[in-house]
Amino acid sequence: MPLGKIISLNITPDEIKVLFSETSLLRNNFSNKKINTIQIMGEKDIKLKIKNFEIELETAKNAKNFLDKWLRMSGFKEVIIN
Amino acid sequence: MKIYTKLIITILAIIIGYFVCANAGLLPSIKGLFKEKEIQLKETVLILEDVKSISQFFTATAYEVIAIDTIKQISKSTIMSVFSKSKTEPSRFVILAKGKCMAGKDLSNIKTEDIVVKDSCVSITIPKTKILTTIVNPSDFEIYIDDGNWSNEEVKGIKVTALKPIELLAISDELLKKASERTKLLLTQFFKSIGFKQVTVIEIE
Repeated sequence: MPLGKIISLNITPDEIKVLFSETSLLRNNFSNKKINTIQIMGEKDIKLKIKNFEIELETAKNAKNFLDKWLRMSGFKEVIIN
Repeated sequence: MKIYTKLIITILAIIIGYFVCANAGLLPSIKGLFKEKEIQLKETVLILEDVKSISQFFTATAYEVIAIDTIKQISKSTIMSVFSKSKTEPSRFVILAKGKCMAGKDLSNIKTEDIVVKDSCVSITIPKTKILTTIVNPSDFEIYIDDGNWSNEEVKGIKVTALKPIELLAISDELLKKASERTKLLLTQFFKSIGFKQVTVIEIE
């Protein structure tokens, strides 16, 4: 069985919250374009850091269990997944 | 006269000094004083709250693009409203959303009785194909028109509304049909690869 990998990242718009926003007197407030740019940067950061959590290991374990269950339901008595 | 000469020399010396320092990068240039600074992300911490176990079988993906054009009426400024009968004016917001719609099956509820084996024949009953997820991440949005009258919450609301039309477009592009056919093909190939001669895949309607 191939190794598990992250196939998609889903950050729904309603899950993004602006917690704090402050600009100095001489600056305009953050425009929507700027806020979107910050969100894109956050998305890139998540993509980069998510690798450290080793979700792939958990995925491999779940995939193994799933396949094992299916093969046993199909009549196999002994299942070895590498 | 001498005082004026001294003053001019001092001013010139300050100007020359400033330009020399600005060129050397010790002081910001005049252009740089008003230039917008590049956004930089501070050190962020990512916390993993939960890892859910899923048994979803993604078999087809549709990529859709939609443009959302929204108009609202806003109050005119006091000066402008003096010269006009109308007290409001339209404000427009246009955003482009590029979404990914993934369809397939949720196989988490498959029970032993759903897989029937008889000699070298296998029959498997699987649930109906459905849209499993629709993804429109921040990088998939592009703001085209924003006249500055739209709050962050309003924009967020517009972004949320993008999901449903993307899903509907994907369905009209026969995503579910494609996912269903692909599931049947992949499951047949899988069961044949483990030794079954005849494979029947039944999809619950």
